[in-house]
Amino acid sequence: MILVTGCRTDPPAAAVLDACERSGGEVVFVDYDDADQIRASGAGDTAQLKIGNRDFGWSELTGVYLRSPERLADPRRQHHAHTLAAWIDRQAELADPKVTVLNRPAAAATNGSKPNQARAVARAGFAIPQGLLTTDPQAAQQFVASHGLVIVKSISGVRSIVRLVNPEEDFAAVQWCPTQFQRYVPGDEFRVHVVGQTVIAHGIESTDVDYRYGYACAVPAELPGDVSQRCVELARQLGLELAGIDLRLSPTGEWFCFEANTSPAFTSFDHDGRIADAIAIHLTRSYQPTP
Amino acid sequence: MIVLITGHGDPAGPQLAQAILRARRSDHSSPQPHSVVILTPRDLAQPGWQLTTPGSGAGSFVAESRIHAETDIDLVVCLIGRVHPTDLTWIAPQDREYVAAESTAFLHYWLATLGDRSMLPPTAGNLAGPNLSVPQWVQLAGGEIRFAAYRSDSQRDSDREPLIDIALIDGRPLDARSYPENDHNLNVATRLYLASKVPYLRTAFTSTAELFAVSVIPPWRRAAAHPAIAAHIAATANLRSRRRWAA
Repeated sequence: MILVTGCRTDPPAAAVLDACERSGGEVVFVDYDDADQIRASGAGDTAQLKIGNRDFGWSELTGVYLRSPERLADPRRQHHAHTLAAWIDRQAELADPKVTVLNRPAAAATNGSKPNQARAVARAGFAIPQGLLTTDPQAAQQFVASHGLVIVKSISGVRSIVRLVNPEEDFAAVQWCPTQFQRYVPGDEFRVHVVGQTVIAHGIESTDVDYRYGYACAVPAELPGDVSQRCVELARQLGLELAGIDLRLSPTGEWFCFEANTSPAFTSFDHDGRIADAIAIHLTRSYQPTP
Repeated sequence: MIVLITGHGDPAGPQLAQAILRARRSDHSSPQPHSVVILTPRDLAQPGWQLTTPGSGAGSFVAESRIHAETDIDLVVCLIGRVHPTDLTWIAPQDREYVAAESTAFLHYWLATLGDRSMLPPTAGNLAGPNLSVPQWVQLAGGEIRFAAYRSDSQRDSDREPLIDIALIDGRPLDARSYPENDHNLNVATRLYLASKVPYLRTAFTSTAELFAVSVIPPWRRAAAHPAIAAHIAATANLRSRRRWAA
């Protein structure tokens, strides 16, 4: 049995639910918009969910796909939804290793600090851009002056718009909050989804520094074999069964990695449904220990 | 230099710093005295922090409103799990959530790059060490420990019961209470301590001896009453071999 959690209005949750149902497996959907009608009890082997008239035990699950209750249709249900999500997260973390969980919460939290995640990125064999984390306006200005094109982005998992920094701008505000500056790396952009051992890559055609907030077109792409392997290795190091990895191939042929998203909104790239299908297959596959 | 990361304006920080200095003075085997500085989230809103990515170990940080070199650090003890938005009174209310998340992520990176100079390695969700639920602690200790189960549809009676608290440091109870031989709660706390490899462990039990809570953040608010905490920090700053949990 597969458990899918999320909100019915959340495209990735809806796409995975649909793909799992099409695959013919038994699927249970915890819709956080109905959290007030769902009862949770116990922990570990004795964990139970009651949805409507139906009871089922956590031990019946073979696969779990988790999305957060961020897209609630009715914000008044936030308390119920977040309480239930916290309980489900705890059970997912405790689940037997034979249960495929996309993703276990501790692994999903590894992008809570991007520079810390970058240490794993480097260990996986990718280049990472030189950066400065600072509260010092003068140091920020010097970093920008010495590197030419520099971007500023959030340190935490909070989504921010990545933008180029103007060397003439006022840096005074950085003294109020640690701020991350990074040398801008030009090149060809790729978004790679890793699902278990499966790698699905898309090239991104965009003229914007942050393609998520501008014009962008995603087209299926092939990565060199060793780069695909590095993506799988990065996901493995972070403990992720599913990752959305941002890569850029620099003009000098170096593969830079900027981030591994641990709960990727993959549907923007998944026009042919390959990613959702790969997730459904991964959730239903029989357990095989990692070699 | 020993760096204590505490909440802004919390008097327990200076008290613990004084207790560490006292412990240092009474330890005659110590090669040289350490200074102790207190770093609070307010110091993250002061010019002077400079860390590079990839980490170089040669950055600078701010504590007690002064700029220090990373190379001067012997030990950092983080006593907060994260930076809380409500603590950031110097930040505009609408920006506090964001600044708190950024500050937490920043400290996480810094503590991780310090390696064994950080008392406990940060984990996702907790700057001060392991971030495990009670069932996960039980799993870590090999199971077979009764714990208070959670129900989403009712408040547990134990939420209203007084809890029995046991704190361990270096494997020994912190309080002066005498425990009967084979005390169940103490045995469970000791099992968890041994499995966790952390220097401090606080456990709480219900009146029916169910494990209710586990924390690795030391009872530092009671540091003045428990010199063992300060002595432990002072000794650890000198001896890297004591940092078995950092591996």
